[in-house]
Amino acid sequence: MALCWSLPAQAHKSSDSYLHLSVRDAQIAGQWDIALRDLDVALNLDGDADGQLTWGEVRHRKDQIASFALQGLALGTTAGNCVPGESTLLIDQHSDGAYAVLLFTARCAAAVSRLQVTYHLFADIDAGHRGLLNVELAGRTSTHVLGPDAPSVEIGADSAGVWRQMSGYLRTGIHHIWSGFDHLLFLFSLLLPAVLLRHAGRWEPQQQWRAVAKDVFLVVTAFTVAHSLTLGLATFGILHPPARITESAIALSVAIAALNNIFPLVSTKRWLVAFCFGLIHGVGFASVLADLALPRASLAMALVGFNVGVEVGQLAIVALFLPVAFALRATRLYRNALVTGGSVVIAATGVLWFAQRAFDLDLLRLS
Amino acid sequence: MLKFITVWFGLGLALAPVLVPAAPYQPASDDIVLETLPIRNDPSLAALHDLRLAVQRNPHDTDVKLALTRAYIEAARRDGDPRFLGYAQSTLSQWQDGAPTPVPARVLRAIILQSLHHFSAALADLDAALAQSPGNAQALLTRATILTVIGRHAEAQRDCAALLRSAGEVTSTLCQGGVASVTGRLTQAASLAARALDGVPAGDQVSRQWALTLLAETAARQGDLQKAEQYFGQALAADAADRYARTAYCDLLLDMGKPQQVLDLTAALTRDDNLLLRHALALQALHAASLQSALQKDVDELAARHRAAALRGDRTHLREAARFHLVLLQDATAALKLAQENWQVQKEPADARILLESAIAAHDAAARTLVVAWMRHSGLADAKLAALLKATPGE
Repeated sequence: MALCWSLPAQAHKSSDSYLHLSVRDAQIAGQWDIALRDLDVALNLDGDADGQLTWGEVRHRKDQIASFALQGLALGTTAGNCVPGESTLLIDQHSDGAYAVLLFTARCAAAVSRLQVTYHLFADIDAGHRGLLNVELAGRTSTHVLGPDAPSVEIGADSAGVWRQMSGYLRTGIHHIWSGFDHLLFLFSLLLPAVLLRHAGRWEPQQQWRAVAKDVFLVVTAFTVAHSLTLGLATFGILHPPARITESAIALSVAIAALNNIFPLVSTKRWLVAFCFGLIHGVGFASVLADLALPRASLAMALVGFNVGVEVGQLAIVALFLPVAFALRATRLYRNALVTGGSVVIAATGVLWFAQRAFDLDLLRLS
Repeated sequence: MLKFITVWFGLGLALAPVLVPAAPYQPASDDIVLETLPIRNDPSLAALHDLRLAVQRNPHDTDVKLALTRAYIEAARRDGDPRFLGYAQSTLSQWQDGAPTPVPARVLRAIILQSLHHFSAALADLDAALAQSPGNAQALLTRATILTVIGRHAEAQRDCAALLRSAGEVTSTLCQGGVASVTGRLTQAASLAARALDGVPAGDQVSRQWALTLLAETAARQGDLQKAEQYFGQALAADAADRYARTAYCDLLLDMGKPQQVLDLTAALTRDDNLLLRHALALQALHAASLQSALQKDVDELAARHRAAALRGDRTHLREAARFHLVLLQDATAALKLAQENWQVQKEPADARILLESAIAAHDAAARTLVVAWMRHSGLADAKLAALLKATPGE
């Protein structure tokens, strides 16, 4: 070889395998994606040496691939090692080529609370190889990178991790209420008249701060109780109305709540409105959690975190809105422009959304 | 607060494709070709296969092992695939953890460490090797290369001079020309490279290619882009497989506003991260609506590769990642952070350029000053850097 004066920086994607382990009691389900190129180096899969790996060549070596790979992995628990059983071989196309996908289950002696994963795949062939490990255990998903320098990791329930994940769901909840225009507009429709009194067909300023506080408290609590109830039921699959109906109903609830400010049917017991429509909004919230595709085991924690997040976000909005509304309540600006005018705008938006969602029209892309 | 949430949420979404397994399938028939193996299809790599078998037969034969390691390193140089470096590293594994290591094994290990950007570990191995075997040509050349990359030019110059005795005039001249080219002595660099090119023995394509690449880079620094283009063309003709020259050529063509040629040079080689980045930059520069989806595909792919690299703790992509963020994602703040991290590790003209470009885009006067101070300290002269500084006088 001539003198080698420079090497380019690593230009390709490095050799990685993707190992996903999902722990259920004493059983571990695994999906392991390993590059066929890497397996060929270890096992000489290209039987006819033509430089092309066919499915036939791979399929015939299935047992060797499985035993070679699983020898490179140890799953240890306090009650001894888990034993891998039958496995299935499939193929997947990653951005850097074709991967063998090994689906397997491993049986452990007892329910697993702590798991030690030791990774030696290709350790003696490729010092640059890494295993990107993704483990679901006790409702938590964690990610680790294993390789010759650090072949082992111990995974188990620790409180810091739970809290970190919980606070993640909490932020998702806050984010959702702040960025979901339909929930915000519904809440505003109910809160706008809270600093006013309906008297002889007209809005009058409410003099009592306590009465305002009580009204707001009732509305917010009713909305919260209602949506928490349906959020829980929908998250656990007890309630599953079609998304189109839920989303249309949410739009309608926005329109009705706003119209109620212009032509009041319910003026003293608005908390009832909040409760009834809150039930529908809860189902809407659940679709956000469903989109996160959480493992069933972490659903309860996600639900609590997300719901608390929604409440925190909601209270923050109330805290911002209420002092301003209370200060402005005696002005014409508030009573005419904000309550009546604002409600007209909100009602119109709600109707538009309803049309869009119920009849699939593309009128206004807002939420 | 909202920004914080967005960032947090975005991070979660960004990691998802790396971590969430896609949908596996069972191929419909045995004849379906799943993968084309580079090692069997490239004749220069076929020799590797034989060496690998030889090592399996004689696991205690040091010479065969070293030959295999060299072949892996050569394959990595030509192909840019880090797997070969991993194989090379593993082949040397018996000399790990302070085991007494023969000089050739030490030098090969240093080359591997260098390409993983573990520069101080590589220098330690080279210092030890040269203490035992002072004239070792490969050790001197590798040390000169590392010292040039990290900006210790005077020491690099000394190693280049020492090469005269152990490696001959061509190598020593090219080595010195390389240092001259990044320290502002451009006329000297060009004449050294030209002289070396005249002396390259017939058949030594590596030296010929090195000389032409140096001529091209020096011409570009002088601002003579047409001349640089000619030299790069010749360099690629000498060795079409060389990724360093191809990547540098693409950068020149992008500067010259010739993205179509960059597409031609990269289209078949986008498995290579560096060339994929140039491919995407060329698509962006063409400004065609019909290319938007192809560009988006490249950007998504690059993002996925950078995430995977970051996840495994790989620090060799920093310069490229900075450019990706600056030009394709147009996130000057992130780009500057990456360019600054990169600057901690290496100080080649391209590192100075991405740092300066990010500093200008992010309106960071301190980072800009850092580049100016470095140019003054090292003597680095570069037409492109000068133009950038002139266009944004003392922000």
